[in-house]
Amino acid sequence: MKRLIPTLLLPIALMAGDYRLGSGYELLDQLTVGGYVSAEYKKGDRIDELEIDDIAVMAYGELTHSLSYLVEFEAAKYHSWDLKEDTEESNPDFFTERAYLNYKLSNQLEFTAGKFITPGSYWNQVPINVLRDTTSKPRLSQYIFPRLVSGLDIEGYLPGSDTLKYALFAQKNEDIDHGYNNFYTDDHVGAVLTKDFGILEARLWGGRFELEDGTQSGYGGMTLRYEDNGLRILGEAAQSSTDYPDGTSDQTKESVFLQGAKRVARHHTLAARYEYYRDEALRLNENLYILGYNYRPIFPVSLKAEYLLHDDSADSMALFSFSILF
Amino acid sequence: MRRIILLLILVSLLPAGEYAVVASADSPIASLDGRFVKDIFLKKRGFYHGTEVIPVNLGAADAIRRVFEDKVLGMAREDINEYWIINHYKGVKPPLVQRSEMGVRAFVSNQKNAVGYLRKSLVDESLKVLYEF
Repeated sequence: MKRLIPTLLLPIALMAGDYRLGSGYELLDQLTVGGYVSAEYKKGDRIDELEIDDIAVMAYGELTHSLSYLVEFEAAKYHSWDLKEDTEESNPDFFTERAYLNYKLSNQLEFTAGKFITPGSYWNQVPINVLRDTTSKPRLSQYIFPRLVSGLDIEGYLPGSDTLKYALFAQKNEDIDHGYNNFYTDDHVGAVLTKDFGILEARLWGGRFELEDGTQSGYGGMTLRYEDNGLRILGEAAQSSTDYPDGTSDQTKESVFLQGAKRVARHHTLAARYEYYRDEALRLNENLYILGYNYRPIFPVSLKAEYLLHDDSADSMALFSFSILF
Repeated sequence: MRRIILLLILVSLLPAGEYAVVASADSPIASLDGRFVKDIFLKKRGFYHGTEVIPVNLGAADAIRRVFEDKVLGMAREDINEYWIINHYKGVKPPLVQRSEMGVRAFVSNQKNAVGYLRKSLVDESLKVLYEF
């Protein structure tokens, strides 16, 4: 709690000066600070949980026109109360979620070195609650590929094209902060190709990674995203194949989701998502249907309510969240 | 035939646009197309053929900025605000702001990498028109 209070007071202190919520506070020309907070409540047959999920602070800036940096520290699942079991758990330590330098040589060539979000899946590029249309995240964004890379990324527009972008990335070392990734990998390479059609964007992405215990996975996916006039449609499909150290090979995971979100009135958005997830090793086969409502009194503040309908009705649940970007 | 010629003359006399995207007269950039201007002001691209480009906006309440957002960016103010809030998470700030067209003219004429916009009637020999809207 000692760490929580100053963190929560930070946005209030920032609001006292010349500051707009959701834009960060520019301390210097080369230093803007900000962050985000989210809290969730989940209620279902198997779960009754209240949680302060994310508390994060970030700093970034442009050192020159070409050179910029960003660091972000986050305490995930900061504090949770299991109301079913009447227990609570605290994870007050902050971990490095992102820390990188970016150097732009031209529109065709820019380098990022450090720990950064894995290029590819569109959902993964803007993963925080406050910027999403739903509290829940699709399985695809959690179980197919590592969310973060500690390594090097090269990306830009393909020469001669205004609409086709590429990204190549590689990690050949341990994670900058071991405590914060969904896969503990020290070897990850991948590539992304993005075509911008204006209101429509298409992506192909794929990669290969090895876990520290020798488990090896290859993955590939595609994204289609449409956005126009308050309507956002995002569809992603991905598959991975994993070889385990015990000799079990070609174990497949596959996932698809299609989400639509429509701003039905100022401040009010309705969202619906269908998801399919299959994990061959776990003999898991899931269909999920999500219907949600998102109220934003201002864009950097989000209050969400949704219902997640699962194949196994015992895993269905209602979710509510409050999140803020400062 | 005379009518067609008269019509062509009238069309040629119509202004291409009341406003101009401008750079310093010393800028190596000769002209820009609308899509590139949009990408520069959304900070999707920061170079033009190897030359750094620094976008300069007018203040949020300025009427000319509204026209620029509508005609060149093709985005509603609400969508633009959302765009920059999402980019705050990505570590990207919106373009620099000058409070007046005079400020834009002074800044752009003294900074050869800068690109701004103002009324065409304010363009002088220190500036070069890259795009009209």
